[in-house]
Amino acid sequence: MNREMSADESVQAEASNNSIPKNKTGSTLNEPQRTKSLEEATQENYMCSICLSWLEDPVLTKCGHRFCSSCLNEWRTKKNSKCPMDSHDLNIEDIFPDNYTKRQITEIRKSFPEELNRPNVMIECRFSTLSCDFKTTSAGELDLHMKEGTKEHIDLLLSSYLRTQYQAWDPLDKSQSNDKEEFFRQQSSTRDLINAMFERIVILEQHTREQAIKIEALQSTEKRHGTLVWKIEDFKRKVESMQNNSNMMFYSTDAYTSPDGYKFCARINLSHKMRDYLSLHVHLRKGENDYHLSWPFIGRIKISMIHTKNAALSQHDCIMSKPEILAFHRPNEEISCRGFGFTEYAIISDIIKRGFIENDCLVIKIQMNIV
Amino acid sequence: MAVNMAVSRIKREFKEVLKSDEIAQCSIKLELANDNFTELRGEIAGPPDTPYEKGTFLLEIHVPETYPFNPPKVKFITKIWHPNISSVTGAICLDILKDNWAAAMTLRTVLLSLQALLAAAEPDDPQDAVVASQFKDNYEMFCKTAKHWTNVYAKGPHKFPDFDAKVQRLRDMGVNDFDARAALSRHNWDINLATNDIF
Repeated sequence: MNREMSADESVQAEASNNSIPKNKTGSTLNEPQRTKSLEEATQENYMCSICLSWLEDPVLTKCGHRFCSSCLNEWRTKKNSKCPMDSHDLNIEDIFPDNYTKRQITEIRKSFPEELNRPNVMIECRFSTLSCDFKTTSAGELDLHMKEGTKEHIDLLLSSYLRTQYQAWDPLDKSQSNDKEEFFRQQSSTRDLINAMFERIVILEQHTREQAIKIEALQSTEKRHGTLVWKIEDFKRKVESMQNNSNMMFYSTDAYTSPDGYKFCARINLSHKMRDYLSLHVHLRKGENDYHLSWPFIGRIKISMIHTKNAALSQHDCIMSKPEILAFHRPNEEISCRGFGFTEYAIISDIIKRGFIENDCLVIKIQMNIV
Repeated sequence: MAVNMAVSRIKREFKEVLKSDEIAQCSIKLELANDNFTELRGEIAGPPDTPYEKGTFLLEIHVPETYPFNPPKVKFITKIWHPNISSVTGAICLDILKDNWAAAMTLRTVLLSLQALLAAAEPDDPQDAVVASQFKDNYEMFCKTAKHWTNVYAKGPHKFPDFDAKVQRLRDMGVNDFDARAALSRHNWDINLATNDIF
């Protein structure tokens, strides 16, 4: 026991010194000043002491240590729930994503583009602009390539130099070539602008889509106040098709008696007994609130045929629910097979004659109120 | 991914250890034993004021594919007389190489911990029970034996002519050098007991 303690302590003291590589940049850089500041920048805070690389998707532990999220996950999946630095117990709620550090790292990496010295990040040969396609992940290999590829690189330099000469022979005077530089500069800033705007558009489009979904949701709750206004458009065509086919019927959209209430809809068809009569029924529908509602439905149903020109001519009928009627019981199917209403609601020719049809549209209003 | 991480980490550790102060002081050393960074050779100097002082101890290090999530497998190649290291196989009993391994530890940490283990043995949690009981019952004998082993196997400076003579006598009887030394060490250099043990 005693030894475990002492060995642990010595190791931890070492480990914390250890997590700061002395120089992770290799020897390919000729800018000691910048290398040094990067080194300072990458100390502790930006280094994962599991993979010894830049923190990727950093997480912060309760005991104050940072690791790559994937590294720490892997460590924890090895059934080890202790912090790799100080052996504190770590539960999942003791680990937080560290987006502050993530941003910092992104910023630092931006200012040191040549420093992408970590596994899976390719460093290009410094002659890549002269079409040397050597790439590697290790600074050491790049170093070797720079030494061994000298001849190749001189060839590249020479051919590049020759190309430059051709350009110089172009009949462009100095001021024009300055214009050209200016033109390229502008072009690249335009490209940046377009990129930035494109990103902005994507964000806005997403925003718009979210808003549309919200509005849709709001609209659907609007219909939940017990009133169904059913505009039966193409009325003549619908009547004709019902006359041609005695089984033909039309249903309204759904409505609710209240935001958390009964779901219902209306149906029209032609009376089977008297073919010139329109039947109008209200059906309860299976809804997401049924489990908490009281059954059978008890309430008042007011059915109105609206005269759009003269409200006084509108026809109103009021019925009370009756518990013994199956139509008011909890629906077992998507739509209750029994409806309640009027088998002979109105004579079709009468409806037309009395001027209820406006622009080939009949308006039926149904109000369901719980009593 | 695990393979990748093991190799890339060893590469980094390797660079780092080459630049460390301990290397400068010749206190630890690390070198590759194969090209794919999975087999390494470590070297630690015996800590001062211990029987291992001025000795050089070689270690065999195997890096598993799951490194650093699992500890490296380390054992002594150099024969050593120590309660927590098998005198026969070189196997090491050290908590951080087993259950107390943490992913933030490195090969440098391991080498330094082993150095610390040489300086502070723990006979109550032994790998080699014979060495451990000698350490507890006859510490002076333990120190001499450990110094002798350091001299013979790890280029240590302290020669023990009487020990050498006893080993030679057993060798004359046809026993090989290591078996002779091990048997004598186990029996506090009593040549009769050692002889009985072997034959």
